[in-house]
Amino acid sequence: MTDEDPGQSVADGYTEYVVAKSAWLRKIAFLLCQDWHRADDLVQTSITKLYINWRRARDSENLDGYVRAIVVNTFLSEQRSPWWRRVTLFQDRDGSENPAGGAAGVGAGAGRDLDLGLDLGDALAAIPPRQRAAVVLRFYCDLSVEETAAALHCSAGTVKSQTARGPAALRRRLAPRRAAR
Amino acid sequence: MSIETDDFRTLREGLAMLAERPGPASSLDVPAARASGERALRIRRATKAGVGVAAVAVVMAGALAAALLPPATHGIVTTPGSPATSFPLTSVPLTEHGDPVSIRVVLGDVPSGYAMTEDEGSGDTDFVQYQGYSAGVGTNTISLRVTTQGDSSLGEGAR
Repeated sequence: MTDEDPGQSVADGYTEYVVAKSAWLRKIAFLLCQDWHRADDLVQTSITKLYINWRRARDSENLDGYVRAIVVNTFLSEQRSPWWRRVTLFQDRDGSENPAGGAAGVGAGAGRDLDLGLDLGDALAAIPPRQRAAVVLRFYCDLSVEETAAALHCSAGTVKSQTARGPAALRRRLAPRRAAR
Repeated sequence: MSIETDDFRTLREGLAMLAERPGPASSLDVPAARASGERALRIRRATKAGVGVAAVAVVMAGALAAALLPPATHGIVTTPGSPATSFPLTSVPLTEHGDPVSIRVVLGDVPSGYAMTEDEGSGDTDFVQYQGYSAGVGTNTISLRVTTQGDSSLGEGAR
């Protein structure tokens, strides 16, 4: 960035922040969608939105929370429009591309999963997106019920029910796999 | 690792383990995100400016249209001995004809030598009366009465 850059005043500190936080944002995005390529698309879209709202984000009390909310809401809005299912190639665990795509393709690689971490990923992919987002925000990002509710634009009661049902659904999905081993 | 019970700590550990799994190299492109964001900001600014200009143009067009509308007339045209004829009502400024419920008469045929003046002394609201006087003293008068229903009558008398 040079002094002549017209976006300098708008983007002051933006690039440094995004470079520093990109790995963290990728992890959150990956937990939400269980696909690294789609996670990159999600973060790319999110940091573009962040640039547009950078002044407001920079002045907010919790910049990390602001950006995390952008990622989660971008993920949830994509769920409402399934265009990505048609255009994104899904990469299986072994690295081969599976044109079946998206969440439907996640279950296809289950037989090759050898540890519970991967099983958990598949189980996560199978629960509803909002429930998944609530689980990730509560149990990975360690947000409180109120902070999760603010990020998801819903009530604390909704978060409580989602975070009660989410782990229960994960248990139900993981139990048969464990029994089969 | 097990999440068979309500062990949220175990779930936290499982999620952390999943997130730490090595993935492919990141394909994030920060300069591209900046360029896309800058483009979106330019479009947003242009849209805001366009909306402002459009709003001013709409207001000016409305004012111009109101100014260019032809003034319309309304009321009743009555000639002596004939029923009243009403004009179609259009947008007429009230200041031009006064109260829209009052009777207005346009006299078309006044006998030569007579001047018609409105008789303001009646005080009635359902008709208006005009008096016609011929020049000179002791000559005849003509009175014309027009009611709100559009009926008219002529009277003649000595002054």
